[in-house]
Amino acid sequence: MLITSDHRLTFAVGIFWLLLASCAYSQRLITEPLFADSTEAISEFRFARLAYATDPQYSQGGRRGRQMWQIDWPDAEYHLIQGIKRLTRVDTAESGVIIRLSDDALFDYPWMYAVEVGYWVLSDSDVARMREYLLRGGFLVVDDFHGSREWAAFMVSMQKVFPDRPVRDIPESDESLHVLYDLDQRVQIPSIQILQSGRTYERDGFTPQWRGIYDDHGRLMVAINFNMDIGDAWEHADTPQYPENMTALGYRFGVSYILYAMTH
Amino acid sequence: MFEWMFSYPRSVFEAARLDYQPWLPVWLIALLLIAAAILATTLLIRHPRFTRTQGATIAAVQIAFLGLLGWLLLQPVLLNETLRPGDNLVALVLDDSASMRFDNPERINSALTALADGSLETLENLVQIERYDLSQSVPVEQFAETSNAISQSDFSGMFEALLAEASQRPLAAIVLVSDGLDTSGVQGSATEDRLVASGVPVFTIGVGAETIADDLALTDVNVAAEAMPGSVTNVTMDILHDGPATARIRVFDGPELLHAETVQLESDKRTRHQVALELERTGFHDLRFNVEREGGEVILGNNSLSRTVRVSDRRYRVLHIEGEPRWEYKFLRRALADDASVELVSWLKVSPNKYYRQGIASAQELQDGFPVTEADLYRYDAVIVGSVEAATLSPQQQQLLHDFVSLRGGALMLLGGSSGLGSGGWGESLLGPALPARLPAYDAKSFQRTRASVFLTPAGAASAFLTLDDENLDAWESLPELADYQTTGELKPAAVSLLDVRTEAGRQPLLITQPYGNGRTFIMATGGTWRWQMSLPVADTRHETFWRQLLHELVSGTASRSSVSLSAGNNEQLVVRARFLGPDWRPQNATLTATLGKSDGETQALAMTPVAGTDWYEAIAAVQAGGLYYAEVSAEHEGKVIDVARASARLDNRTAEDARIRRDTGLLQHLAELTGGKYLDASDISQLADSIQTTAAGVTTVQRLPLWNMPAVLLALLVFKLTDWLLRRRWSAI
Repeated sequence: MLITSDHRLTFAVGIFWLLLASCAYSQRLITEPLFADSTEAISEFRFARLAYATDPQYSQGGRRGRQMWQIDWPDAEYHLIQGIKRLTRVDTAESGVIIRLSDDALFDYPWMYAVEVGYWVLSDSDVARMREYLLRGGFLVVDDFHGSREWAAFMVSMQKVFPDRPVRDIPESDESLHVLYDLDQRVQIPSIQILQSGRTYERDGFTPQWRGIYDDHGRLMVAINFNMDIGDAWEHADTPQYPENMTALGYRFGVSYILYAMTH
Repeated sequence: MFEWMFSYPRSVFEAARLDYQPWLPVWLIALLLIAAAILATTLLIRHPRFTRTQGATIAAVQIAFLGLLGWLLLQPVLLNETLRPGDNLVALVLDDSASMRFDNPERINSALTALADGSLETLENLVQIERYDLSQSVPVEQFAETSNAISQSDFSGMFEALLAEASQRPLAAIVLVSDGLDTSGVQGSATEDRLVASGVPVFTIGVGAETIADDLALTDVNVAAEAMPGSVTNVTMDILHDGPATARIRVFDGPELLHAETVQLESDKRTRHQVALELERTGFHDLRFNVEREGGEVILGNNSLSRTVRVSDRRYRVLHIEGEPRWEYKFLRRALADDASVELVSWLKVSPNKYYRQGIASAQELQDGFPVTEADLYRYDAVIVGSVEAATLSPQQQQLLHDFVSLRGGALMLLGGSSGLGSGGWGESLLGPALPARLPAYDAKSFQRTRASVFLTPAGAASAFLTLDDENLDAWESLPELADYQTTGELKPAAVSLLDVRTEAGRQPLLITQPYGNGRTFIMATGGTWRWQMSLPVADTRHETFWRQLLHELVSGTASRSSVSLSAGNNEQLVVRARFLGPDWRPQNATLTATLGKSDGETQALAMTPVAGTDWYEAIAAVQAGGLYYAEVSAEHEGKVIDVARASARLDNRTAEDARIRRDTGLLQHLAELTGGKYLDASDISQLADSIQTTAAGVTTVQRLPLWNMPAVLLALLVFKLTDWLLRRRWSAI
């Protein structure tokens, strides 16, 4: 086929628009995360996402070229924040922050969310900071990790934080599940990709587990959402393919963890 | 000199009244004087040898001369009311109490010397003198050095006995020779009122040293009768000293040494020293406070005082209401989690339609929201109002909360927050008058999410409950900044700021308190102390300590439904006071009986009688000896005991006078001034007769004392004329 100059021009314009669209899309994904600093608070509560180091074998990985801790960011918190503002009286910041355990500002955010913790690797100093954070009254929610291998990887670091505190199942009577709602539905909240494959579980994480680590007064310090992906339920609140009832349940768990952390 | 110039003593001028007896009509005298003044002025101003100024000056001198002359024409006299000689009685009272044995020579000897030195001769010519020993209510022939050395100086009893005498006989004055160490509490008493009403003046003659350099006296110890286990209890010890000294202070709990320190006393005569004690064991603590001067001292009997403190296992209940979930709420609850004395009951609005309750005793507690009845609200000892709008409470609930403080005697604390203090409309609420500051208006944007550092005010530094560490100033200065603060507005007159914040806008109050009615109100103008907890290591407990002690302070002064107190009265008496109220905080229909016991086992039953105008009952028991006493009061209704409460007190063996060996000149002056008498030092006793002579009490006569013949008047007339002559000569008129 003969390629005329008109064809070349059309082709070049097409490539240009394709590149432009690609850049715009990548910009959406790789917007610079807002790391926390020690400046003044803008509200009583701010969603804080933990940025952690990843096992080297997954350091190039993540999804769509992102770090594992960035999964679901920023849509997950964006949607949940709207829910918190609508459903509670918590004075909530419009945007979340990213926090590292080494940051000075760590202790200004007594509630923290960590995702894909089956891939996290905490250094000795991280471990000490995490222990101090939790014992001073900080609250950690971990989410979106599945199966025995990711559990084991999670526990390698967590056991360094609290070698002598057992991980226990959160009983139905636990106050964290009743601060605002009575969360007696133990339904596995799936990620959207897995849901599209017709399953609700990932790897060998067949059964959802609500587990926790408690302090000496019986207060929950670490809420562990194992074999589920509540972050996806938040992230895809506006995705037609994602079930609305899963999003609603995910919201309820998220709101409950925050309210529990602010009352216990 | 005064008397020579003015013909009469100064005291006559002070006591007498000025009057006139003109021999011409006043209008005529005035007319003549005015005419003379006009004539003199006219002639002198127009005089050809004088300028106008010179003429006016000489005219002024002449007018002054004429004025004085006119005043003499009015025939001025002093109307002096004096005692009619021989018709009056003066009671001369000599203090014969133990304190008059102090000093060298002894005070009683100094007094006798002063009285025997012929000083009373003039007085005896004027009045009949009856002598009394302070300890006796009947006259004695002569004072004796061997008078009874009683351990009490009962001024009130003595005055009452003499006033009874005054109703029968013409008592012109009471003369009290004393060191002023009254133990009856006459100052401010009803006896004092009766004394003033009788019109009998009291002349006081002071004896004894006003300063004793080598002695320290512990004059008072102030400590709350109740404390909470492990809580810091603030004690103030009042030490009297003359000049600088080094003092060793010790506090004993029974036989156990609880606290010891050496302090340097500055040159001020009185030092208020603070001691912070931590009492753990529940029950009564028999505390003895002792102060000793390094290098020894002359009197040891005034170095110790005892107090009993009950460490209660009572659980105080504090209601905390919040309109929004926030970190301060969480960390406040955590700070109180291990506290054995304070139970925090919380009512939190978590969503627009749901309140979350924590620390409730039953499912029914706060089920219908904030209490609407006295019985439901008054069960709490304190209420904390956080970031919640005033409009959340109905006007009736606001009034109930107001009465909770003013009538029930509870404590109220408002916290800062986006919907707290002024931003919550609390300044305009029915609680506004009770608050210690005039809060900014609802729309004044008083809440700032800006960090601020905290520091102690002088009043805060003196408050034991704000003690975070042995190095307290460092402990406060090294605290992390607060997450936020709120402006409070102007403090009310009775309010005091204990903590301030340093902000970009300058320094402003943070923790404020004031008494209100029977209770107290506080403002803690921040919702951001949680940063202390999150920013400090786990082992650092300053955040917990602060909140625990602040809440203990809140509830410690609050009244309870069952109250008993035991205190030392006058003249070896113990006073038992009790009050039993129902759940609605109103008096119960009950019969009260008290049992007073001593540590060695002796007991006596006491009948309690109502104290007029109050909800209290009282019984007074005479006791013979010092020691540790207990009182148990029970309330019975229809033969059934409905409540029992206990108290304890130690009666010190030291005499009431021991505490204050130095002459109390202030009290002697006060009594004299109050009754129209005069205070004199023993060395000035010769002035006594003149002073008493002009007293208006007793049988009196009025003297008319002419003033026209005073040398001072004649001198003044001569001076005026001499001035006139000198001026004319100087200006060449003569």
